Amino acid sequence: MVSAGPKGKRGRSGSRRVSVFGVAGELLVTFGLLALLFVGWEFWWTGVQAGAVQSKAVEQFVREARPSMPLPAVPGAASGPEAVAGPADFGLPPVADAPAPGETFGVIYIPRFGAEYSRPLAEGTGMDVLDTLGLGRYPSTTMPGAPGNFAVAGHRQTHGAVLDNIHTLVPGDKLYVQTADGFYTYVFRNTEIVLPERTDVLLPVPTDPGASPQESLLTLTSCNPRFGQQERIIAYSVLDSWQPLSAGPPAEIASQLAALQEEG
Amino acid sequence: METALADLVLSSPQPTREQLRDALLTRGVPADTLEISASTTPTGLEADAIQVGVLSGTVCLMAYVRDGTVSSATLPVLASGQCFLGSDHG
Repeated sequence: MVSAGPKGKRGRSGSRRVSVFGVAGELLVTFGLLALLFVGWEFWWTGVQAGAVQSKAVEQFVREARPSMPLPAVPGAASGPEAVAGPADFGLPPVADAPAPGETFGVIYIPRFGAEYSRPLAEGTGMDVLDTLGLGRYPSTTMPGAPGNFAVAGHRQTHGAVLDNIHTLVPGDKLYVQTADGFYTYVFRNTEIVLPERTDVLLPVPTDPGASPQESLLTLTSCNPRFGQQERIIAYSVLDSWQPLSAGPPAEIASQLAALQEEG
Repeated sequence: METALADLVLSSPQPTREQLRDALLTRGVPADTLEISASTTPTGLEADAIQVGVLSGTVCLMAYVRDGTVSSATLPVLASGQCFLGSDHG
């Protein structure tokens, strides 16, 4: 009874200490949960959302820019006996006018990234394009088929991770661009890693300001390393051939395109 | 070239630019026909892959080395007379 005072003091001090640690602990747990939720949103949910938008855009574009049916495979694709004959010659490739900002003007197919890989190509490299449609054309660069540099940007991670596997391209890989005019087949050559301020990779002849372009290039740009953004990875390809929609798609993507048209 | 690279990656799955250069020069590839990408990035990271281009007349013998695997292709030489686009020619 008499000694109740001091005991009571120790008890209050102890509970105050427990209370401070408890609050701090709960704050840390809450912060951790919020961080996990953010990571989940950033790496997973943005991918789900962007993936849905991109699939819809691809289906819509393929439905509207429909090659002649049935889909004949044009000789000269990646492999097979037709390749010996070489690609058919359809003359100089047409060059479309620059699209309106945010407009989807094509679809890109990159078999190295997966048998079903296709993504819309849209105008502009603002976050409104890259966070939804995925791949955006730098407006200062050319359109497909023109001499010079047709350059597009895309996220390496998040928002569909459209260029997550850019580092797996190997020399000779084909990249196919479908527009309202036809199919442009590019052949990958090499990559380089640069700092973000190196905008000279977008020049008509990349990194060579004085040169006059003789080739039609496709340049893909994304972040490097895969889970960072302190650098940029640049993948260069050269136009190999083109064919109008009326000639059907290149053999390597014919079945993929047929499936997309059925879905559409 | 492919044989030289295949032999090299057996002992060094992710060779450096210098190792690749030495291996190819040893096999008789002329130095002035050779382009090799950097094995280190501008911020000091290890490159995911290293690429090689060897100019041979009107074509380029291209190779790509990543994780001990060598892929190769023969492509036309560029209008610039080089095999690589961009600024990383080694």
